[in-house]
Amino acid sequence: MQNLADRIVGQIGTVLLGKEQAVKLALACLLSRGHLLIEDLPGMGKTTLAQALANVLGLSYRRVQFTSDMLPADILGFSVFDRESNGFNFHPGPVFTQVLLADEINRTTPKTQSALLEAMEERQVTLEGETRPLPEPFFVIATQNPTTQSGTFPLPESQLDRFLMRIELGYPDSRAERALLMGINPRERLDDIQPLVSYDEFVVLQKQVDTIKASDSLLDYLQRLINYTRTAQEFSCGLSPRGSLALLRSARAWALIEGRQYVIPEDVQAVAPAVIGHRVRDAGDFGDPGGVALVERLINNVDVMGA
Amino acid sequence: MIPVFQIPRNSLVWLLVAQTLLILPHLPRLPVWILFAWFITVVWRVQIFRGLWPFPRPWVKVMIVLLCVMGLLSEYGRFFGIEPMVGLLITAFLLKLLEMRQKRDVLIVAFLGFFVAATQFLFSQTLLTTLYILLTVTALTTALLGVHQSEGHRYPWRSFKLAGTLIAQSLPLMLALFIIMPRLGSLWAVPQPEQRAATGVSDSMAPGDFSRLVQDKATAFRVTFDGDIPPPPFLYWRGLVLSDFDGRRWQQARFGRFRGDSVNWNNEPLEQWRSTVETTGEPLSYQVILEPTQQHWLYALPLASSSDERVGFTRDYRLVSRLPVNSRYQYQVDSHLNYRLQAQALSGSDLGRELYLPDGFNPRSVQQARQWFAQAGSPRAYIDRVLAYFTRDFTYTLEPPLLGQHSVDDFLWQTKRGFCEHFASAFVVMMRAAGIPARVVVGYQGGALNPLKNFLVVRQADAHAWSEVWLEGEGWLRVDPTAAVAPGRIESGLDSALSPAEAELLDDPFSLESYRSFALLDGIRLRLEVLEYDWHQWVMNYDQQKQSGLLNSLLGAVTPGRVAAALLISGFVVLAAVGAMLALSGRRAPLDPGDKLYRRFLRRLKSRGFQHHPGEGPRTLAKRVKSERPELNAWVSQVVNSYERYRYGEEGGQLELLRRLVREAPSRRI
Repeated sequence: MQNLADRIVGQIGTVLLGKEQAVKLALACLLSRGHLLIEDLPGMGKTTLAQALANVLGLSYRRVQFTSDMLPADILGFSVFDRESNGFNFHPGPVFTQVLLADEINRTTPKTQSALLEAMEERQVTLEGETRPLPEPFFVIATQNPTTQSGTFPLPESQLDRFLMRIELGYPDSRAERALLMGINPRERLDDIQPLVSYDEFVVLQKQVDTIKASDSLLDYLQRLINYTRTAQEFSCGLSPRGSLALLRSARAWALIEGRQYVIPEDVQAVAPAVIGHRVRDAGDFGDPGGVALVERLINNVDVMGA
Repeated sequence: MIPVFQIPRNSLVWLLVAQTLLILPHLPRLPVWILFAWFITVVWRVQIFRGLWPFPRPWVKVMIVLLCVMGLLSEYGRFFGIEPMVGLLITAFLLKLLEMRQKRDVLIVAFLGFFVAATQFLFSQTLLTTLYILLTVTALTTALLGVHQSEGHRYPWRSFKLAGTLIAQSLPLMLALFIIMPRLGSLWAVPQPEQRAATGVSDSMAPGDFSRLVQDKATAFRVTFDGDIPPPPFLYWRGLVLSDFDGRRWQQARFGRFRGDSVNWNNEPLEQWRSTVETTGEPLSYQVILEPTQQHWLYALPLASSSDERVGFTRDYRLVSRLPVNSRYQYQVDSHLNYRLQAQALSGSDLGRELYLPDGFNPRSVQQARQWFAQAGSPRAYIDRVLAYFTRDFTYTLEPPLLGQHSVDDFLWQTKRGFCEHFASAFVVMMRAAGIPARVVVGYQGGALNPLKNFLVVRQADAHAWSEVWLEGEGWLRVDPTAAVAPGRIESGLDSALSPAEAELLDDPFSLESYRSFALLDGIRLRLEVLEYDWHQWVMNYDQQKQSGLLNSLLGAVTPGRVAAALLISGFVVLAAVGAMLALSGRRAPLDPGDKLYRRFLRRLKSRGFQHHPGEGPRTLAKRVKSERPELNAWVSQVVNSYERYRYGEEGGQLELLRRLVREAPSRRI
């Protein structure tokens, strides 16, 4: 497995330089059957990452660019009257795919946002009284611009909660940047990426996540972390049970990627900023729910051993 | 508009509950209109709380206060005295409800409540009272808690439980202070409650008095004997000697209860007349705990003497207390059951008093007495003749028929139904008519043994009247005509002497006494008696003397330093116990052996100058060691690997390996 994970990460690394950690997190998210939210400035490689992931996993891929004048039908699809058959024909929207890249999701109105978010949660679309299942697997990789930028509709907490992880890419380091500048445009090399796993292999991998052992000791640590978010003054609200489940599942996937059959505290610590960061809020901060710094404090303050 | 502080609901509820609890036991002593005032203030307060009524205007308050003060004055007629003062306090406590605007006011009312709770002890100090006051204090504490609790506390019982815990936690300290704190005398004389009905035997006796008294199940006094308890025929607890007869009512002799010459106090030299007592044999010693009677006289077996300073000895050989007994009173008595009183001769005035019969009353009895005395020949034979007449067709009954002007005549020759006072009165009249000095003695007879603690409980129901006759050369002899009619009364108590139908009249459904036939309830009754007895012995009776005795035996000597040390130590012990309880309840599950080893490993790392961070997992730690202290890397990575596998991995049984690895730490100096 390590081999495979390494190869996937290496493969994507050829188009997204110097972002191993982010790539692994994204992979862990998909292995845990969760949706991924990538938040960063424009031009940091969000779209590249999403497309590379889809390519390498051999999944069908659609991309929707969200704009402020978009309507739910633009994503979900619509029915058109067909004169020949004298009936309505359903034209499926871009949502009917395995990997959906929802680009700049916070540029559209809440109405359209929630249409997509509903599909994410139920993994099905109900239109005109007819329920249509989405393909398996179904991933949404959404990107959003920092909410401080103009022309954004920030996602409310309840909708942020639907994403298993939220990651940031950040600027590449200088070596990666130099390589980028010297090489050809990565976008053009995206098509060179060949699928490394088949769909069946991917499902097997996903199932393997559940077999990773989480010992009592580790669950104790996990609970200490969760309790800390619920009792410490600096957290305006604690982590929900859904959040704690997400943390454990992601830590398992992370251990799998690391090639281990059991979870260690470092796995939890590695995924915690991505999993918890968008679910908690600093009690002193009334702005953006961006608790990454808060999560770092959490990790530093909670004893791995138990007091 | 000044923002008005709203009393938390919890606090108000408990304040009202505590107020109710506090006022209830005082009600019999308070004027009736207080109930009305109480009702109005409570309703008004609740309406203020609900925001429906405004606070009373100043002139309304002044009016209310004036009305209440006038009411109190008209009820008691004076202000200096315990009852009017308590009345005033309670009125203030009630009216203050209408004044609570600030948190401070609530505190004042609550503290006033504590004060009112303390006044309860002026009237009663039984165990039950104490428990009740503990309950009211808990309610008050809940109200205090409620003031400080935030809006969210809406469950009155939770606050009450918290207050109960607080009170329970303070009990050990209270106990320690009770035992150790020096008993200072009261700083000012606490006035005694005055308007209180005297209980028990009164200082006069008329037909019908005793049949009322015996319906009372209350305890009159308790007795602990140092040795064996004498059999019932000896248990005549003399209380009063009644020599004056006006034809219907018997009273104490006119020479007064407390004329200086008639009482010989224990701190005074022995009076001449005390030599008229002859005793033989060893005295019987015992302790009596008398319930408050509001009277001076004490009860004891004849012939009693006491070494107690507060006790005096009267001309008619009884014990009296210097002050009226208005709280439980304990005294020590020595009684000689074999005695002769005034065996030589009676003085002229004594004779005249003990032979006096009012003219024109009971002519038939007087006539009959003279006739029988002439027939009998000797005083002894005459006494037997009269007693024999009683045994013939007289009935001992709780419900004697009413008697006319010649009460003795009516009783002896017509109704022939009576209670002990009828027999005693008739017997004495018959004796006096025949020229034999005689008098009525009232007190108690018998008593019920509490087998659990071996003390005797004498109840109001044991009240009795008998007579004494004086025979030349023998002195005063006790003759109990009731014994002739109903021997069972003396041997085994009142219940057995009455007919079953009458005995039922005595049953009070609210008294455990009435359920003696149920073993369980009787057991409970006996145990309660013992509790009350112990309460008196150990708590109420714990005075300076007992304290210094106890402290002497505990500390060796009573010096200020030692007492202070004992106070400190006992306080510390209580706190330590609380601390231990907290520590025990908060203790975590024991550590896993692997975690213990890992801890040891961390300590060893520390001693080698490497400090780990709390949020650092083993692997992160190893990585940091590798970069910061490469010389430790080999050891650390081995330990961390082993620990990680043991603690998080699937392979078990790595503990030994881990232990070995931790032990193999590289030496500190490299």
